[in-house]
Amino acid sequence: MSTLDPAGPSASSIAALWWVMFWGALALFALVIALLAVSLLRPSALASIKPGTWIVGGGLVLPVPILVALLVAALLLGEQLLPKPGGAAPVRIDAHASQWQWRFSYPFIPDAASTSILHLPAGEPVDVVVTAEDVIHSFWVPRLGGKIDAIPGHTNIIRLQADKPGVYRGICAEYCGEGHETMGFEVRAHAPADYAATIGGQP
Amino acid sequence: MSGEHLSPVALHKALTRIWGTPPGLARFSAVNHSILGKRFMVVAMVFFAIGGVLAMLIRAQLATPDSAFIGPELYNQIFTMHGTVMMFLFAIPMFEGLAIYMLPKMLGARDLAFPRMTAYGFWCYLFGGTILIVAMVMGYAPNSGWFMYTPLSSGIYTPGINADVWLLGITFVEISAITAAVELIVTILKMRAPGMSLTRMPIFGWYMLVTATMMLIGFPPLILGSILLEMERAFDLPFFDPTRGGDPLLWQHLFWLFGHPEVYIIFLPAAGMLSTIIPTFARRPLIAYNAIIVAIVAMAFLSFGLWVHHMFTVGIPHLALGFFSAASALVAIPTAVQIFAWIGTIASGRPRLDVPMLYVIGFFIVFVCGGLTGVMLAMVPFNTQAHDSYFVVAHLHYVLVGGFVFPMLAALYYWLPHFTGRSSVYRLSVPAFWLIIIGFNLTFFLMHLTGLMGMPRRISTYPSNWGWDWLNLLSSFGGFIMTMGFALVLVDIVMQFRLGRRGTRNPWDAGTLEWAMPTPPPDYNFAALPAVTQRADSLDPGRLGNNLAAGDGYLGFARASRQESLGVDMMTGKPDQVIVLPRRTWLPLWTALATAVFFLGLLFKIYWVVPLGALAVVGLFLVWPRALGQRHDAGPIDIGQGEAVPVDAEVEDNVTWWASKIAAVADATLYASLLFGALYLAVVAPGWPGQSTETNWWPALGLLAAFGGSVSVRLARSRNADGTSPYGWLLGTAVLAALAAAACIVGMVQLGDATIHANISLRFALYAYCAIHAGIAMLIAAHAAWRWRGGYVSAVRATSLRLSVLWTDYATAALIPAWGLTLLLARSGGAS
Amino acid sequence: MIRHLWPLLIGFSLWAMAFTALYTVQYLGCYLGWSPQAHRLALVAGAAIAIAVSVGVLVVQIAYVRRLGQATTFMHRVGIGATVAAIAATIITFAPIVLASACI
Ligand code: HEM
Ligand SMILES: [Cu+2]
Ligand SMILES: [Cu+2]
Repeated sequence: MSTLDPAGPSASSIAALWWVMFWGALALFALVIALLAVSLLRPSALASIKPGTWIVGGGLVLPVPILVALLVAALLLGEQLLPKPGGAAPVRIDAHASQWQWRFSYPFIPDAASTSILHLPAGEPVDVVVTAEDVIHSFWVPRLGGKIDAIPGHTNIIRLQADKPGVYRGICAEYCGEGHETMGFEVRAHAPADYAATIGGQP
Repeated sequence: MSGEHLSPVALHKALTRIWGTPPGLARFSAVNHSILGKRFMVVAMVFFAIGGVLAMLIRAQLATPDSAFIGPELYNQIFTMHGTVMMFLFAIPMFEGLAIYMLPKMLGARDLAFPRMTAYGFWCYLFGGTILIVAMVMGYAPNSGWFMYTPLSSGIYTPGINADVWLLGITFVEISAITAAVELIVTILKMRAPGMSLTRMPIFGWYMLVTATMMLIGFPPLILGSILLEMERAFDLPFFDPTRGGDPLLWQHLFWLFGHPEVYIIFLPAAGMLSTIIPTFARRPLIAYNAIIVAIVAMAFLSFGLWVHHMFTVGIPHLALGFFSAASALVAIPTAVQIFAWIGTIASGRPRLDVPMLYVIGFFIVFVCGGLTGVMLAMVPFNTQAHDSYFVVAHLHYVLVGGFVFPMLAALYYWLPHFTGRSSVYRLSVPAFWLIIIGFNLTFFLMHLTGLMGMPRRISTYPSNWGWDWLNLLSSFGGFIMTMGFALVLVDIVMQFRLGRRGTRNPWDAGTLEWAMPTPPPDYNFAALPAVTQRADSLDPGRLGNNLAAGDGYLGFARASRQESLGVDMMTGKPDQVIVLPRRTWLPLWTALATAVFFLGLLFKIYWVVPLGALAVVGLFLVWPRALGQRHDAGPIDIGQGEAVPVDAEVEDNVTWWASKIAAVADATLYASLLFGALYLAVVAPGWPGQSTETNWWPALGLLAAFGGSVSVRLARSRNADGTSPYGWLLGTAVLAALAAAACIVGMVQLGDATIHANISLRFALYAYCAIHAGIAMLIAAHAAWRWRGGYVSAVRATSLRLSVLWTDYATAALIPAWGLTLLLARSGGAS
Repeated sequence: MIRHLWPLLIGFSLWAMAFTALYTVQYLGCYLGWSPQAHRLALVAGAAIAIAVSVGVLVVQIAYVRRLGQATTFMHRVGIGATVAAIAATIITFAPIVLASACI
């Protein structure tokens, strides 16, 4: 269930981003609080710093490079995670949300029935095409990657990959009324060899 | 009058006779800013307690897995009300109250620019808030979350009255935000002590100026959104319905266009208080005054460019997300500038610790942490994981509690001696602080982890196998520790009122003007207004206070039972008018009650009382000016110190004129939001072009009539300036404006069934807006004619005519884009 | 009001206008199906214009302060700081144009 226990490339790279930000934030926090403590307890130690130095040093020199570096990294990572067309176009699975359940269907396999469990081929990227019937919901499988909203009248796509066969949990992340918390679903990743058979065989 | 010299005591008595509010029932007619400021704060604290109890219910429910204490139906009402109460009924009114109480005193004025508006705003706040709480007690509380996303909040999925309670109650409350914004801006710009140029203004004035401007521009999108959603719920106009040309995302844009600036609107006043408190305890003036002004202006602008960071997962293209992500990260910079300006102030001073300072330290610890998680959330990939999880709940409480509640507690302890006139006794203050800070971090720090472990927000229970159990239990435990801390603060405050020693002035050795008066403050604040010759945060209030009490300063006398304060040039602070303020009256209460009739009629769908309520409100407002104005030109009058300036009615640049212009800005923002909505739906919404319709020519006729009004009102103005009668032209203006309104209404009827498609309902809304504004132009022209007949208008006393020009032009200007969109939408509808 | 406060407001007002304009161009480009190259070119040009205009305003503001010398008001000096900040904000906010996907 945890985003810190990633099971796919998308979730892994986001978790890595998180850990970088976490340690950076910890260092910055310690720095600010240390300065505050010194200024309160031993003001003479810092008294010679000029106002301009505080503003330029603390307000510009310190945060600007960090923010710019972070923005560039996040933007590049974001580009990687996008469901870009082209290349080996991944399979598309439809996820349709309604109060309060998910239905998944597999248009790339003729006659495959829709299911309430999301079946994925393991080890390859999948585009999940998310739509909603009534109100807004949100599709989220924390161990595989970020979330995407299911909005009536809109179609959103998210690219996910489960590295290994296994069972994962998905939940609805956008408040959708009384049954919101019951709107979880199961995700099963199958070895590619068994995949088609599984879906074809599911009623 | 001004010649005779009264003793300080006699002067106090004379001024109190004019400015005082008697006890008993008459308190309901109070318009004094000290009384109303305190009322705002007390009521806000009551709402904080209510919000706190709701928070405790949430934490009790979530303490254990599979809890059966509260079911989802009730839980949804509780978290919705918790968020709503805290944001709209606690945070905003709380700082409004403090600003209403404090600003005139810090700036050296005797009251705010529009005392009756303060009172009207207060009643709107109280009544609107009461509607929400009563609905909750009856079991009909809103339950769609504090941001009320459609379609969940639409008529189909929330058929009951719950969502209407939110939309109407909050809109009712927001009237007070708009009135407060207008009058705070005018007061800051026009009602400072003589000599207090903008450069010399205490920094809190700058913070509030920026905040009030943000409110003026930030609230209209929400008000518009609420009106549209209520029209959808009540009359089935499909603005947000994707099956009929609407789009749920339009609501999200409108809401967050308000919602994000809102959190800075809450933070900036708190930062202003910190910028006032920290220098006092550092015993030196704030460093980097200019850099802070740049920083808060930058923050104000940037905060309007990052609303989409609440919508990173709705499927907006990555490039657009990049803009908003960068802007979101950028606000960290002006924030850092302020943080380091404060630390630098402490470091270069001779800091002293006291209870307010304790909460300032708490602020630093909690807020810096919230700021850092804010930068994390601004990064799109991370946001897709953390969004709508408990990580966000943690972050938002770190910034709101750190950036508002802690500074407010510091401010409370700092200004308590001002409210009570007693020095502080600290029995419980320190233990209360520790309970709050420990409890807070225990509750919310863990929630970061809970969120990262996959717990979404807004769920009423969770199963026990996902590792969330111990985190939630500890969070709940921390919540109760924090609540004990708040309870102790309450007891502590009561004790201050009882046990504090009387009669210490300026206990902290502060350098701002609010301490240059007796405490608790007299009804008129200053017996004489000070002349300011340096930056007004390093004055000597002790000495100054004695001189002022003796009448040594401007307006140091009681004249003709009039409530007088000074108006100054916006930049230089040179006195340019005597502002005659209205005295206490029941009108604000009656007007607010009439407003309540209007809103309750809508809420209970008793539509015949709605127009009656609206008429009563309009009628009452037209009576307001009767208490003001004069029938002769008096010329410059004595203001003491050998200077003389005219009365406000005789100058062009008076507060009424300023307020009108500023109100027009808010109104135009509302209209711009509507136009944005129309274009947005036409371009983005699914299901367009939709129904084809004929081009509707009525708005063009309306435009023609309104334009005629604009010409006619100008003729009236120039006749008045020549000293001849403007009466005929004013009546002509009123008639033309009425014709314009009528044309718009016919246009609305001509549209046919507006429920078919957003294409039609948008035009319906545009024409309605124009009809209302043509109606306003008509009323103001007729009112000006009436004032002229009464002798209140002359070539010099021409404010009524200026207002008439402004609002007639406004109606004309509004019709131009309405007509343009008529052509555009009709074309996109397929017919011509 | 605007007569006196413009030095403080102009830089960020330009930023806000550029923001609105570029966000609109981004949306319209996808809606009308412009070719990716043309779309990016329009955005880059828009950002370049925004930066150029605000730098121009900054130059005017500095020249104004130079010419008035001692007589310049506080507002003009603070205004230069605000415009510099706004230019930096413009550059950073629109930097994603060079690499982010415009329509996915
Ligand atoms: C007294 C201590 C407080 C506690 C223990 C507390 C607790 C909580 C909890 C547990 C939630 C999440 C509810 C859910 O997602 O199911 C929540 C939501 C929220 N809280 Fe607080 N809170 C406190 C104070 C505040 C304050 C002071 C503010 C604002 C000034 C605030 C504003 C909010 C908002 C806006 C939400 C979101 C509501 C929504 O999702 O619709 N809270 N609070
Ligand atoms: Cu849900
Ligand atoms: Cu935000």
